[in-house]
Amino acid sequence: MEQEKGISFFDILVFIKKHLIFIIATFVIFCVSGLSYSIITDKDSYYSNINFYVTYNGESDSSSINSINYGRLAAKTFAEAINSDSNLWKRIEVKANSNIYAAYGDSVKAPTYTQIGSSISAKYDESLESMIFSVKYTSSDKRIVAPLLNATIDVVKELTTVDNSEENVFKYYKVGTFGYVNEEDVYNNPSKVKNITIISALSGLFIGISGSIIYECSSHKIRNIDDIERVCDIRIIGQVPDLPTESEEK
Amino acid sequence: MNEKAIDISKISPDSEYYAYYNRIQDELKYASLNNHYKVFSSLSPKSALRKTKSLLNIAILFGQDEYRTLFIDLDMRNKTLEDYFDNVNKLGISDYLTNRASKEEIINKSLRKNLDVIFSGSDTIFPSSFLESNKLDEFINELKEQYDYIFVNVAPLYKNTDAVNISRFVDAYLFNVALRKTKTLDIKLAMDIIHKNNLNVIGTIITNSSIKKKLK
Repeated sequence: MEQEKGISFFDILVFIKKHLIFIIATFVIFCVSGLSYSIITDKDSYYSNINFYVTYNGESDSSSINSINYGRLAAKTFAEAINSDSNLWKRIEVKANSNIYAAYGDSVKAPTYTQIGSSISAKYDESLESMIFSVKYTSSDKRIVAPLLNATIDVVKELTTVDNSEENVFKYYKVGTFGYVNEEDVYNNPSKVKNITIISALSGLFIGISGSIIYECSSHKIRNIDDIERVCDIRIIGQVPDLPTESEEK
Repeated sequence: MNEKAIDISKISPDSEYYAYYNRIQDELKYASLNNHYKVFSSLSPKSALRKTKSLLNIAILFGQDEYRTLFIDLDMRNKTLEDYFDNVNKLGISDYLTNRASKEEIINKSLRKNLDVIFSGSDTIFPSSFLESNKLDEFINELKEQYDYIFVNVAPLYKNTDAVNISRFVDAYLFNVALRKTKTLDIKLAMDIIHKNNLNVIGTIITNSSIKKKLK
């Protein structure tokens, strides 16, 4: 008769049976917590973006390489100007409020920069031989996205045509757009409720199982012959399985 | 116990369970042959480690081998033995020691083949004091004349000194360890008691093993 050593499949089944309630409990608690948290905090958001194509219009060199470099610089400058909440954003805000008022009256207002999610990226488009920089706004209020982007188009155009000051890097560029943004161009970014709940559920499962394993490891229970031989100097003369219960026997 | 407890007599002799118990029975027979052991008991660090069940099954096997066998339950605090038998006389050793029943009244004859059983009997306030009485010694000595093997069930080691007290008439002990239930520390404490009291433990039995095959 072979003596029992190591961890068998039966050991795993016993472990699961023993800790099943704890594992299910942590799973359910985390599921509910994750779901509640995401329902309370997470909402649908709306986004859209506009693209500007920027071509260097300087006097010294108009090669594509310079266009790329200056295009990048323009995108960077523009992003920094907005991020630092300078006059640029205020100008966009004023324009946006004017657009919003035209569409919805007094009931809606353009958000401040901290209330809106924005991202600005730049890349070179070979077919257009121009830098394309893209501005994306995200908001929980669908109505403000298009007016805000359209205000941005107007402000950037003004920068390149009206403002001739030395600090204005946009004056060296020819900036064009692909047109204004309509309400149909604003897309829904679905809520992350499902994702957060799934992550919470998996975390609950992980914590439940690892908690049970830690408990088992720290409980110092005898699991195999080796464990017994380590602490018991009496010779092992046999092992006996559990007899079946009356119902199993029938 | 929710379900009626089942012992090895209810199982087909062809089953693998017999093979495991036969091995232990052979060890006891061998020890008995060499040392003239007649009275066996079983130790366990804590309760619910299948101590009673495994000892009863071993006793049943001795009975099935045509030995006159007696099983005495001296665990007066935890009366699990009664779960294995139907319609028995519940008078037991405590009734005999308090003169409320005679020797003949407390011995349940042939509950299994060649196996008589004495239950622990009526509840008592100080069970340990009964186990120290001379009357018990005399009773066991009488029984030794009548039976080939006597198996004595006693309370676990951690609860009290019962297992140590009966060492004066127990020839050899088995030590029970249950996989996934007994803790290392409990075994160490039990080993300490065993060595300090010079108990004659002839082997360890591992219970709650994972072999569980469908019976024929």
